[in-house]
Amino acid sequence: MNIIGISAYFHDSSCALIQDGKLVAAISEERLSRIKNDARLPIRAFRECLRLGQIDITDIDCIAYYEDPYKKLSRQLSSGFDVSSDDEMSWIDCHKPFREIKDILGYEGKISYYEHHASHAAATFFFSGFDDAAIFISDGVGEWATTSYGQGHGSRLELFNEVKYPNSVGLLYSTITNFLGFKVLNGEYKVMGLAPYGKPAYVDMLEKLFVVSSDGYFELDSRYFDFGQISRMYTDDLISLIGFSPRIPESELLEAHIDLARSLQVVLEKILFVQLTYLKSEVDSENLCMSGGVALNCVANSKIRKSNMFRDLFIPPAAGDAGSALGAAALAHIDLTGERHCNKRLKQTYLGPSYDDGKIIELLAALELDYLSFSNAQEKLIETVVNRIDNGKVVGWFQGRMEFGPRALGSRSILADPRDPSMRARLNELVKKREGFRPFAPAILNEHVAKHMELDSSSPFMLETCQVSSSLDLPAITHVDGSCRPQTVEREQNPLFYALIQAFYDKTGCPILVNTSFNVRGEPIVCTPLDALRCFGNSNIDVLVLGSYLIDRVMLPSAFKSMAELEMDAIQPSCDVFSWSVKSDGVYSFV
Amino acid sequence: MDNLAKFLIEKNNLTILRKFQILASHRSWGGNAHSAGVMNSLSCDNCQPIGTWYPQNKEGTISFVRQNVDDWMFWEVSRNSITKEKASDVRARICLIGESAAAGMFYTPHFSPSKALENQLSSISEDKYDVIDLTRNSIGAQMLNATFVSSFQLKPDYIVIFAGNNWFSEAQFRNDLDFVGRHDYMGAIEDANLSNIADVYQKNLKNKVKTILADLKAIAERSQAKVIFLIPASNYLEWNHKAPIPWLGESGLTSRWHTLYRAACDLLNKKNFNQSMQIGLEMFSLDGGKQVVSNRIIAISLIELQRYDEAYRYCVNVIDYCNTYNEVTSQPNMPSFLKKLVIDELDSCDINILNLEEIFTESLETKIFDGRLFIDYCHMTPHGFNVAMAPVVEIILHHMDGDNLNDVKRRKYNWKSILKNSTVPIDKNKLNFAISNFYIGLYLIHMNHPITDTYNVEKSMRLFREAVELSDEVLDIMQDYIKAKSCDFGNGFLLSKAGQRIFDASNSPLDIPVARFAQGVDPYVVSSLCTVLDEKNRNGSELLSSYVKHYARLLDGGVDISEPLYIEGITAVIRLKVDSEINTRRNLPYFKSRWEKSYFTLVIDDNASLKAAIICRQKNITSGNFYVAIEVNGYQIETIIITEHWKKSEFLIDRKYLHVGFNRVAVHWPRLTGNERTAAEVVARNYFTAIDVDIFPVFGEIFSFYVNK
Repeated sequence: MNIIGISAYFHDSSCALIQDGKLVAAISEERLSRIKNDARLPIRAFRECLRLGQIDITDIDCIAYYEDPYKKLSRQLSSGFDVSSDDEMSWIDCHKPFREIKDILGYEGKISYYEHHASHAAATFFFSGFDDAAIFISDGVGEWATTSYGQGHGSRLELFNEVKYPNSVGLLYSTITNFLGFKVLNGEYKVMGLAPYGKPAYVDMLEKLFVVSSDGYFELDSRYFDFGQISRMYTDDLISLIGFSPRIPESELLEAHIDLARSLQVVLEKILFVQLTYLKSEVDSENLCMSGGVALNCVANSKIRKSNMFRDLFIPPAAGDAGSALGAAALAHIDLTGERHCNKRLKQTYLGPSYDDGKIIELLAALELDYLSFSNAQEKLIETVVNRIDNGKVVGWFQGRMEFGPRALGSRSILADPRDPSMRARLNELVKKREGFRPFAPAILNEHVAKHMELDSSSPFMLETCQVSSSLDLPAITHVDGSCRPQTVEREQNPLFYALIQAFYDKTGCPILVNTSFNVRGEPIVCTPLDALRCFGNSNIDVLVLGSYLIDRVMLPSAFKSMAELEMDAIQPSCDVFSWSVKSDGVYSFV
Repeated sequence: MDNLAKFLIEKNNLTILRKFQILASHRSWGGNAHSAGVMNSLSCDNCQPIGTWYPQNKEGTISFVRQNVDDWMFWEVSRNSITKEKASDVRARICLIGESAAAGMFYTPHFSPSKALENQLSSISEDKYDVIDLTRNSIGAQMLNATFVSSFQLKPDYIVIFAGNNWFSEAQFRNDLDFVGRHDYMGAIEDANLSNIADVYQKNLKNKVKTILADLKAIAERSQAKVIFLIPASNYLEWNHKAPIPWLGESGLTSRWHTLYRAACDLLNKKNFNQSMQIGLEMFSLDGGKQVVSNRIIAISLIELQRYDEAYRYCVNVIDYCNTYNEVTSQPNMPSFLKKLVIDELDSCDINILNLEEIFTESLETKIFDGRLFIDYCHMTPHGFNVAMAPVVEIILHHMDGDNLNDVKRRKYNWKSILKNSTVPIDKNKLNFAISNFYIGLYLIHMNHPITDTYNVEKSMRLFREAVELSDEVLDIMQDYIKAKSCDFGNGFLLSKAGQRIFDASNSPLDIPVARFAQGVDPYVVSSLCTVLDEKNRNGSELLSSYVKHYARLLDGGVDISEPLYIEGITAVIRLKVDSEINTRRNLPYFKSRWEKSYFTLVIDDNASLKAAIICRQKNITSGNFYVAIEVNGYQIETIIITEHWKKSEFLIDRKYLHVGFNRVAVHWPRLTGNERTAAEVVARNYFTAIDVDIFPVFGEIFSFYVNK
């Protein structure tokens, strides 16, 4: 049985395939289109899922869509709209998702759809391995629900209470993100990263923006929010209340901005604890499953785990809307078979395409690039890479199947030495070309965690933070507040990545590497070897490892960098060259 | 809100709402909002950028210095800096503003209309002239007028505007039109006779161009310089336009048209031009004469019969209708009705108008322009630059002398004599001209899609050979082109060393997009280049073999030849769009055929039989048995049943039909079925509901067509 799950039309559209009860593929469209946060129908991801599952369109039993567009429409209408504006209200066409699945993807069979939070809930509970769990979903908004409280048992899933739009914890966070000059749906994690630098000076003020109560109730004070605007989510009243002007994007970050970020983090955690206390009181389970964009706040997640309110916690690797493609597919599986697709916990996210050495070597030969070959010499490759890292080099590491979700977990990663005091600044400025305050995460061998971090459980998806307790000095991965956001690496999940870190440990005594996503600012994580080469040329990564082949930066032809920059600039959505107006989708020109 | 949501969930209600929105948003073209914007910018005291040249003040001297930002590569590339004030020894400063035709696409920067102008002026007078090339490829009307305004800062004595080929784009019928645009097409579509769309397009275009010309006039009135406007001309003889027809709206009409089209192609291939003309005329009567293919068939037939005067009308029709639909590859040019409009609108003001159609007719002594003046549909040869600029020189020289141009008897200068003394500086730039020839050859194969689907690469071969005669260094570029295209199926073109060498050797940065837009297998170009390389003992066969292996290797795992990469003619796309996903599934989620036959390229490197599996459908089939014929290299190898739903059919391609290299696989679809009127009504209803529509009939669709060993 082949079930395709789809999430689309908001941000990070994605496609997943559950085949005979096994999750065999999941991929976000942005990785293929190379357009960050691509929200369009995942046309190419759909094809890729079919390819990875070795099926064709006639083999699909069901396509599951991640939200209810009919129910969503009433909420969208309630948000207000301007009939006379130039915006043509394409959202009013609630049939579009199903029509386009038929007309554009070409699918002729059954389409099931599930409510937004049901898809989130399924994306966490049915992949958690728990037989029972309390379920907490919190995000900006789907149809109406912004927070859902529920429980799961076996193949059953029940969401029994909810907070409705416009009252939304996610939108509260996004509003302040917007106020701080970061992009909504993209900049929230930057605000989280900024928070530890500040003081909680605005907590009292932020607490005036909402009411949260022990029965799970949450309400925003509507005087301060207006989500119907195009470029901002706050009102003038909020500006007055905060007492300083909204930050202009890309302008200098002042102390007040940083303090506001810190205060927001404090307030978020307070709200979540009230809401989870209510959930715990309603559900008799020791397990908690969380999902939705708010569940990507790893600082809050770690505090929830540490509170011991629940014995165990599961957050899926793609807790945002991308992951809902998996949830919708899991729900369809139950509808079609009466059973949940899997009772085991999802332990790895390597669900995207891979490229074998044959394809890589062919590409390198066609590019006429010099390289070092470690074909059938994996140990030697690892030794060489470890030496490079130990010598302060930054390594682009491209291996195996691409990860699904926002984190690079050892397949499409940039790796470096966490002990190097200059590494963080170098990575931010020269390699990733991003804000200097952004921290970097470590990848650590699972069995060494206790020696270096205050982490009680494994964290394979980098979704929780913890304090660094290592006797080693690890400036590149230690945040200003002494925390880090680790990926715990087990041999079973990624043997090659494990072996690399093990070898680094053997050489240096440090079982940790800096692990950041293989991309530069504004670019999705690389997918293909060519993407990796382009990114290599366009950044200051010192070494690129593509499968069994290694290229040192000095081996690149002099023109490669400028060509890579040119190529990177050329990646952009379809746009008419006469009028330079941007179109949502390209039109294919036939002859 | 719940009630409103429930109301909108009903599909018919959504259609009603959309109709309301379309009507509510209607406003007419015209007005002068655009003019106001342009005029406001005139009052700016500070210096403004002129195109990609930004003002810089160095010790009190203001210059405009080229910056490589944004769209820099679209602007003429050779001039780095322009001083605000003209040098004291310069007799006249002339700004040339315009599109790619004015830029001298493929020859710029080594030779171009601006260089031709400068050469001609210098050859006649001892004086110094400063010709400033402010042309930009793909310049739209708004940017054209903005450049016109900003050029005033250079205090030119003459401004030559050579534009109009690009004015069609915003008037086209397209799926993503806004409600205002959609309103314009309402009447035509509501009648379910989709042929009428062409009339609306022409009306829209006229209205739009009236606004452009009003702006242009308003700006010209403020100009201290003498303004000369050149109306572009088109290549009538050698350029083909192949565009599908929309549903004609009456039972059997569209199907009949396609039957005739097939017959006409057979007759053209057999060189039976009398009969092909007759069939063309029959098609013309069915489609109302508003479709390019019927006009082109008649034009080709008449030209072959040497009935040039009769052919002219049909050639003009092709130009007038060829850009109606955005979904068909556009080919910038200026329709006849716009030429007339330009003359009517600008005649009343102090702008000298030069209609190149008249000049070229006089120069060639025929109205059917050809490769002597054009390299493609609108871009000119170096000789064409000279012909186009000679009358400009005539006007400038007379004007400088204070002569009345209308006083023909007292004219001192004559453009024909100016032309006689004009040269093309090939000897000084042999390699550059060779490179130009190379890119033109590529462009012709990629773009000039034969109306009969029978490719003739002779002209490109001739251009490639001429290129080699000019400079054998171009052989390296040919080799590098094939190598770069081998790099990750063309995706790694520029990152490859071969691509970098091509980039370094290009004439203009825009040459690269021309070379690159062919993301497909590109069999005709690769074969042609390898033949030329072999002729010069440069291992063309070896290169071809290596190129073929790159693709053939995929056969082990199976190759889907319905992927854009393998679709024949996929390269016939002008990069009118900046689109990094061009020729991917983003733009073609699955293959839809607008013609009775679809062609794909299968690449193999050994002579083994292959397994094939095609998943196809024809949504309009409701009853009866319909068949699809599969041909390989002209041999029918299989017939499969097609239904309204996706159906997988598997078969063997016997090795006897295959040959090593590029194989042409054709899918021959059944004739159109279903009620045409209903089909046209569905198009209308969906269009009003702002849903993307298939305005052209679909003969069949392929989800995948796998071939493997």
